[in-house]
Amino acid sequence: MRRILRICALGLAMFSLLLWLLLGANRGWTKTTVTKWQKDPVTEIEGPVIEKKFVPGVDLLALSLAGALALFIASLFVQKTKSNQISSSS
Amino acid sequence: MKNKFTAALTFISLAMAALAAPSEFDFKDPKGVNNAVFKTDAPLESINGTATGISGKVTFDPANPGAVKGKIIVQANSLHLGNPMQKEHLHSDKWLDVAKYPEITFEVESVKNVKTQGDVTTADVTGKMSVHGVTKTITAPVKMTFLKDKLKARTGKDGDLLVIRANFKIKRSDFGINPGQMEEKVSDDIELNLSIAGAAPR
Repeated sequence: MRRILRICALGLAMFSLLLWLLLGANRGWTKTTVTKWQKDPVTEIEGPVIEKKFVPGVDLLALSLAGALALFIASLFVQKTKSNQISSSS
Repeated sequence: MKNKFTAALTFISLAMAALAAPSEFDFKDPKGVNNAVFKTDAPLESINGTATGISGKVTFDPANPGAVKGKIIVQANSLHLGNPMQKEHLHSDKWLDVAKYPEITFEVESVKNVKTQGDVTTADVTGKMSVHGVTKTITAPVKMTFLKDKLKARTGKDGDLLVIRANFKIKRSDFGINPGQMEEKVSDDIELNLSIAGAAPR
């Protein structure tokens, strides 16, 4: 059980970090839209084009890493499984 | 002979007056390019947003750019932020209260320091700005570019375009928007960048 919790903690930390990096490493808050700028050729005004896109921010990354840390801390209070105890005693 | 001369003179005067008459530019942009960018830079947070719900009419005479008059309106509920919770807070009664104060307006009152070079005019425009139900007189440096006969290239109709750009700052406390509150996250100074084009079809 301890091992499973630690693997889950590591997996959650790695997954959230990778997802955050792959989706733009946004150092602000999580966004559900992104603004792209398009230049009007006649007026030369750059106008915003708002697109729906999920971009995780540091808030979501911190939440995931806190979850991973909680799993790791929980693993410290869980006893080793019986099979481990038997194999270690034999 | 005298009558013919008088008629010709009248016709020329009328034609000249028609050509020199100021045009009314409509800033409701069918292409949705017109925008205002707002920025706050507080110690803990930097927030950038856009607004696209822009309308209004401006009277501009390329022969007398200093006589510009008009009003620009921004729909308060068109203010957009990428984070949905921040946007909800911005629109709520705790901040802009867009349900109660649906429009942000600027109405030109006077123009000073007018400098024209070619089609570009720069000036300090003073007017009444209304935000959050509070009206204040502010002065902003404005750049106006008159694009004669360029409307056809944009919409296919004959006419002129007027591009207005303005960058200036306002204080949210001046407009009663949470004065003295949460300045570590939302600065009192709000930077506004306006980029809009108006059309005057013929």
